[in-house]
Formats: sequence, structure tokens, C-alpha cells
Amino acid sequence: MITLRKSDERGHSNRGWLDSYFSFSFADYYDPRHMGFRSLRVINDDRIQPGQGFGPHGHRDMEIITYVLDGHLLHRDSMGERHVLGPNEVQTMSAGTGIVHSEFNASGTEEVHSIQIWILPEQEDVTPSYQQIAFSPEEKQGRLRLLAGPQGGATTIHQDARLYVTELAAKQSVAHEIAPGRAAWIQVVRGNVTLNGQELAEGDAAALTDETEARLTGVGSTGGEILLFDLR
Amino acid sequence: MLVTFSCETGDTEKLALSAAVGAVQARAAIRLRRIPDAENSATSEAAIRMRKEYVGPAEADILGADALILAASADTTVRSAPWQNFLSLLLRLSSEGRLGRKVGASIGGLSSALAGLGFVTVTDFSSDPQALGRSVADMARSLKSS
Repeated sequence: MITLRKSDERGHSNRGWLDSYFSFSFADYYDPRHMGFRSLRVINDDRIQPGQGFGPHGHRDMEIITYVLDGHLLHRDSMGERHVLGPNEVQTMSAGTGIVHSEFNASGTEEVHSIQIWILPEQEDVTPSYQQIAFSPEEKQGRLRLLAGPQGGATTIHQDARLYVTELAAKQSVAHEIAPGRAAWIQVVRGNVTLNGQELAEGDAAALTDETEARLTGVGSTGGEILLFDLR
Repeated sequence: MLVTFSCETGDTEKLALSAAVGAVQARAAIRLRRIPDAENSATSEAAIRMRKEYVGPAEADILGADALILAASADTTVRSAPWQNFLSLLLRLSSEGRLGRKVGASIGGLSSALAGLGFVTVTDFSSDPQALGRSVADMARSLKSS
């Protein structure tokens, strides 16, 4: 079964400095029908104005993944980490026993477009950690590039979940096998694609349960960029 | 929990962050607020950054918190200029009976600031701000549930 979550049905908040679309309930947006999907709890599609950002705030027991589409984010946290995150990089924080962090647009002139993801951890009270990896654009073009998972090859999260990214040119396809008992969430973060024949536009998402495969194809003049979650 | 601090160099900010982490460890929601510099006098790189990252404490921050931690350098006193507005606000809210049963603690030189304002004060003798943050959050939770 494929359940669509259309872009314009998402929660929306515009505070001026921050324009956000929420796939699931978050902050002032609350919809009991959209509290998450399996271990996936949050997907926020954020546009942050130049020089603005999220001041220091705390998290506990959450796997927090940030993926930047455009611009650069400046990260600081209570573990002493200070990094700039840009496109073709992924940042993963395991909040565990507790962290405080801030995320600011590192530029005074350019907007940041980023996706923030929260995944519920399998175990609580893990030691807080920060990871950031970079990859070449080619690694996601026409194929799935693992960004986060429970084992190596990407950033590590404390959950049996895997996050991939792929960028598909028009008519370019990629397929992901969904193992029995597992589910997938597809989030189109840029452009247009088809999922098993169904058209998805930028911001659209789909939950796949009892499906064996997610076949994605780029459509339109530019194709699209997609985040794919493989979830228990 | 509201963690309010004054800092120009980044040193006290670290203590405030550490207390906030302790509160998060004790499963408290936190707000970090920085006392504005006196007439924006501080010009260090850290001060300029902090001016951007933090907002000053507002009445709603205090009223919405079950606990309050003040963090300042050791040589800060209740007469230090940057703190005057905030301490006056606390005094007014206390005199209006609007502070309720809140827990309070301090790091650095403001140990006497909360005296007489009706706070249930927590003292941590370990000089560990993270432990203090945990203790204050735990105390606030038990006070709320009692």
C-alpha cells in the first residue's frame, strides 16, 4: 500500500526568519493523524534567512539528522563541536543523555534550505555524539547513497533504520527492495519523480507498507532529489 | 527551565550550557537567555556571536519556567549593571506573588540574588554546573508533583 502525503497538506509555519513545512506534527503544528511513521518522527523542510537560525536548545534521546540542499549551516553544541554543513554532506547527532546545540545560517546573504529529520532511537541514554560526513555528488546521482544507518558506510544511528539520498535526472531510475515486514518513506526534496508509476512533486511524500519495491524515476526537465527511509 | 547568563568572553556561556545539558539529562525542557550587554559594550568575537544567538530574558520566560538558574562570572554582584533590569523584574514578579513555587540556583557571583524572592533554592557544592542543572530539574519536578 502506498499512502501519499502531499506537499500542500503538510503543516506550515512562517516566522519570517524561518519558513518550515512539517511532514509530521511538530511544535505548534499538531495533527494526531500525522505523528510519525514507524521510527521516523520528524521531517521538517526548513528555509532559514541569512544570518538567522535556531539558538541553543536541548534534545534528549533522539537521532537528529540534517541534510542541506542549498546554503550552509553553522553548527555548535555542548560537546564543543563547531562545524559548517553544506550540500552533499550529512550531519547526525545522537542526543542520548542530553545535548544543547544551535544551528545558524552561516551566510549573511544566502538562504539555507535544509531538511531536519528526527528518528526515535532503539535505546535510551546513549552517550551523545556528533558525526558529519561529506560525499561527492556523483555518489547520489542515479543511485542510492546511504546517509545514515545502524552500521558503517555512513553516519551511525541507534535505530534499525536507513536513510538514503538519490538524485535522478529525467527518465533515470533507481529501485530499492523493501524486505518483508519493513516499510519505506519517500520524501521528494527537489524536483519531480514517479514512485512505482505515481507522480510525486517537490515536497510530496509517500509511505510504503506491504510493498516489495520502491521504484523511483526522475520526470520533467530536471528530474528530482529524493530521501528514502527504510524502516522496521 | 530557564537558564539566564551574562557573558562577554564565552566562559560563562560554557557553564550555562553545561547546566542546561544537566537539565536536559533530567528530562527538562530548557530556555537559554543571555543578559544583554550594557549598551552593547562588549566587542569580542564571542560577544558578537552570542548577541546573535541569544535573546534576552523576558517576563514570559520567567513565568513559564518551573526553575531558574542564573549564571555569571565570580566577580558579578547583584549591583552589576547588566543584571539590574532582570533582577528588578524578578523582584517585581515576586512582590506581585507571581513567582509561585519555583526552584532557583546560581552559578558564580549571584548567589544572593534569589534570596528573599520565594525561590526554593538548590545549592550544589560540587561546582559542577551539569550536576546543578540535574539537581534543579529534579527538584522542580518533585516540587511540581508534590
